[in-house]
Amino acid sequence: MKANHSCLDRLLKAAAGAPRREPGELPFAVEARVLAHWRQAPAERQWLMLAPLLRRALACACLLMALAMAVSFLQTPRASFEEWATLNADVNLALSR
Amino acid sequence: MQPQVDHENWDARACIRMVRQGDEEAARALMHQLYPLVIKLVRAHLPRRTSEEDLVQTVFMKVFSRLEQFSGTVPLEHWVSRIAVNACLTQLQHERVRPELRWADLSEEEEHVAQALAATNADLPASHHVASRELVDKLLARLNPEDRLVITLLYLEGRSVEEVREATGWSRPLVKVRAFRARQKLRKQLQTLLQEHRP
Repeated sequence: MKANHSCLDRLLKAAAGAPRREPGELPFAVEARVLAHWRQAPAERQWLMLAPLLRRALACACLLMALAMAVSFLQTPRASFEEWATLNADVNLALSR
Repeated sequence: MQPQVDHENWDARACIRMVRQGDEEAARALMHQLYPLVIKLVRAHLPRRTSEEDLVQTVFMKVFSRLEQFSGTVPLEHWVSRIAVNACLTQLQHERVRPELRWADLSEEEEHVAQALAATNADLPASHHVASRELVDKLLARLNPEDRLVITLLYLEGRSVEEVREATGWSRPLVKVRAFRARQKLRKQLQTLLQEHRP
């Protein structure tokens, strides 16, 4: 028996040389069914058109939310943190007794 | 009635724009323009139990439902090829891989091809090409869908690695690795088959 890689190559080469069927015409039934399906889905198409816009709007909303959180964090007065720290220390003291 | 499509002077962008606006004639023309490409791909990767028409219909439905996502950065044919290849792959994944091919599964013509392969080192004559393709199809039916796809595209359709990458969306190294592994499996199948008949 010949080397198998050679056999496989020759087999694939011969198979690639097999004549191909002509594409012919698009079957009417397929055309009709596809077009009917396409006609029935205009609402879906409109949503698909809106999808990139909605994605951008969502990204902008997320950015604004992050900015608002950052600004609110920076504007929180230091005193309120200290009040919480004192309260926390009192509680810890009470618990340790 | 079949619309007359001028394949050479056809303007894909204008047609797609009109389809997006809901023009039915443009949708029909788009289908007729793309049909030769789609049918070629479907026939090359057709799963055993799926009808050609059903798969063509599935591909066109996917094309129309995703037409809004077509940005025009790649040629329309490449975009449609990828949809068609993925539709075939999905369909192939629903099929169970067949067990090992035995000598008894071969037709008379396929037996002659196998005998010729084992007997000589020469290329097979043109009269054996159709039977060779049938034998290769039987061997491919024993591989998984990805392996079958990569062998068909690279070795039967003569596409380049770059073209396979475009059609499947796989990376270049993945195409090469899959092709290598698929060839190994195919070689093993062929070896087993030829050894079965060795006197």
